[in-house]
Amino acid sequence: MKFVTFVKTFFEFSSFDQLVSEKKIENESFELILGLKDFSRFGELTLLDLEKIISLNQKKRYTLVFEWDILETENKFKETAKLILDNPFLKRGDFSAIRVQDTGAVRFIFEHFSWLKIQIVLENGNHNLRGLSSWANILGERLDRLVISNELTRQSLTQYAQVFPDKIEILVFGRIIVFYSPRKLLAPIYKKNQTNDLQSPKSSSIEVLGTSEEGPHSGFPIIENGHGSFMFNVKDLFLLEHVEELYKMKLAGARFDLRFDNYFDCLETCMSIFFAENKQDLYLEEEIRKFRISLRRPAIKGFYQTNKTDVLFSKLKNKKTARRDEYYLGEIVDSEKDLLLVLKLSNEISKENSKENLELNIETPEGKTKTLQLSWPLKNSLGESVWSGSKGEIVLIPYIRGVSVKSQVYFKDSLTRLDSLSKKLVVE
Amino acid sequence: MTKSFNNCGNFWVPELLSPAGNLDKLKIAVYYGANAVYLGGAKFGLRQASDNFTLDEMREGVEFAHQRGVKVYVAINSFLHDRELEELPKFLTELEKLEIDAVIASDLGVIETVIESSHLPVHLSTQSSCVNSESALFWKARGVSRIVLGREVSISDAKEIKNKSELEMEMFVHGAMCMAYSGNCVISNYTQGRDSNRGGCAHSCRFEYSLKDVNDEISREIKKAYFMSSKDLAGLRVLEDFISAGIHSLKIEGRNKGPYYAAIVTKVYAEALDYYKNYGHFLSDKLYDWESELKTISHRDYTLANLLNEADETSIYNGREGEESDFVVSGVVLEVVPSKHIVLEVKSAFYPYDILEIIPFKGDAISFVAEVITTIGGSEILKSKPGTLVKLPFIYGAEPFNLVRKKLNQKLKVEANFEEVL
Repeated sequence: MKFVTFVKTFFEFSSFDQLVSEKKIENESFELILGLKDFSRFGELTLLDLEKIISLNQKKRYTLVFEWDILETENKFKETAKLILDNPFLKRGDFSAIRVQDTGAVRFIFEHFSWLKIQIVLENGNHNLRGLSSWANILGERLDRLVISNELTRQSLTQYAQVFPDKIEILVFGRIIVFYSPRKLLAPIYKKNQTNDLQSPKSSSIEVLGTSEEGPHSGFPIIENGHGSFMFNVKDLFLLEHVEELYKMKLAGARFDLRFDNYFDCLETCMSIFFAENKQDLYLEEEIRKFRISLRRPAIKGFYQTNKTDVLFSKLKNKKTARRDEYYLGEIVDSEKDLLLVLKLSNEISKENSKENLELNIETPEGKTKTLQLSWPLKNSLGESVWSGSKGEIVLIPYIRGVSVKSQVYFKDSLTRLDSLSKKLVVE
Repeated sequence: MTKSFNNCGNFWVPELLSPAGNLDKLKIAVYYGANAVYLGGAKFGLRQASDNFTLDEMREGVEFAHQRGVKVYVAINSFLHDRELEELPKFLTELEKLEIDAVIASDLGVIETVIESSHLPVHLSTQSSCVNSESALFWKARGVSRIVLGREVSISDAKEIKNKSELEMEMFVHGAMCMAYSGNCVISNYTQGRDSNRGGCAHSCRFEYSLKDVNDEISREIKKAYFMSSKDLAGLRVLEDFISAGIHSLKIEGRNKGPYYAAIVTKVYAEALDYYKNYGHFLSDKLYDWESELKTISHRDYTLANLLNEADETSIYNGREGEESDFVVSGVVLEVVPSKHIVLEVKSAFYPYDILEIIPFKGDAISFVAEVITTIGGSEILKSKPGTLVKLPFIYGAEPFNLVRKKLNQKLKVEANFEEVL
């Protein structure tokens, strides 16, 4: 499993390299993602720095990955694609792979850079093996990495890593991105609210912390730059306690996103933990604990242990008022106490083709079932007697205590329903 | 396409695709002029809070729609996890039996499952954020027949994507908008424990936030920032651009919205497209009326968003969510007994002698005075109660599924605002 991280400047690259040398870690254990401003959401590398990195890397032999993770509409995409085509570093084969999210970018690279491996960012969705397998099949030999979602649990990761050994990467430490929009959302506010030269020091980028006034969450980092606006979770992902487990899963990469909050300063600690020989060591455990406490921002394990983000759905609706299809007759749409209930028919009924008395079950929103023997004739909205009713019509039936609006009405047995064939409304 | 000011009556117009949050809303959308509707089953869709359809309701809905020449698309555009995906083939078999016209999907695993286990056409959901022609070609190779383009795409870009991919293009024409690239927002997942991409979106982008610049020690906190909330899309004024670009389908957002929304938006766009179909242009005196009608529904300020140019700061809805409308929905006509009465399912209270309006499926609203209000049992009442049925004297032109509304007078509006403040 590779230690995957980003370098934003040549200085960071040098510092990183120095640290690797000091720690005597093999260079092949690392993978460095390099992002240029034009192609990468948060890339800050200049062409000059990139050139210097690539030049130095001729000796160092780190695995370098080019990042093209923005989404762009047609015209912008075409411009960016042209820049990609003209990029001398990609042409020269200085990168082992390219990291893309846009399916358009996937296709473009597939067509135009036949030698370049692809790392596909599948962090939005792709929570099933079937989909991941399809991605793997589509990319075939060109597939270098499936960069998968933080929302997957340990259990799913284990399963997927068995199917795709040395192909899976997850974020292990860093900000969790929760929102990506191409619109400039901060500039309008800061333009209006700031005076003189109080604008953000980075002319092309604004970073703020957002606090929800309608929820308990405070400290969402929000960045606006040339690619749009991005929001991160209030807590960062921190899975360092599970590094050994991730090793055993045979993941291809564990990503340490140290681009924000001066976390590049934590590189050494991250390396120490990641490459520690004895991961059961109590001292290491303590080191991880201390590291976590020392972080500027709170950290979570996200959905690594469990993902229950669908369990609330069942509470959004009252299942007792949901129509069950078998033997369904209709719904109570009005009730006048001690006088009548109004039944809106979803199926047709007629005396001619049913039993003398209609035997009905009525299921209330509270979950109670009431039974009713309904004698012919029924009444229509004029109060007239009717011997049949069509789909969509309303009929008046006797009041039953405890039956309210939204109660669902069913034939008690199949015979009742089968006998109730379509007939025109007959008014006495 | 040739323009003509003569009434020669057969100009090409796109399909009008309306939301069907439940069976009643499906019927309303169909009656008010939709050419196609989209809906969700109990699972696999993105609107868990919507009523959605049981299989029998879907069967009834499909029969109802098909009898009237209206297509039905079923959304299965959740990002499904393994265990949910296992249940999908069975559902697809049922959908095939119902003879629905297409499914709307986003997840590659779902798309492959649909293609392998059914013959259903696949429309790529906007959740996939397909925003360029290379992407469209990628999905074409996967077997999709239509792309529901990301809302970031302009009409002119859509035309280019269509021409290059030779796929059908569907674009949103009206309704609420995600601020994020669809499928790229998981705020609810982390803050509410609800998977936004499996139907649990908590609309965190509509919340009020306070903001503080991290790079600036002296800057004060900015309060009351609704910086992530988008204005609502309204593409009425650019329908001709959609037509010129040959966009196949114009989609109205809003499966979670009420019947009045479904009725009015569908009716307005259907009438506008019908007008174009007849005359080949939109230079109609009705344009003002159509726009006025769109203002009667509860909405945020309208924007063209990205339809013509890239959405700028004017597309941000910097205000609290509220129910801004000149009208209140009084009810839905449930039954009409000619010369006798109409039965109304009451949505909001009204009083005897209130001036109400019936919204016919075509044509202008019909004003009437509710002189007498009685219960179904025949008792005269002085106030209708939401959630009940009432009888009103027969109104000529009324039909089942017509919406009935009441204009809010200034006094009531002031009261409503005052209550909101409290």
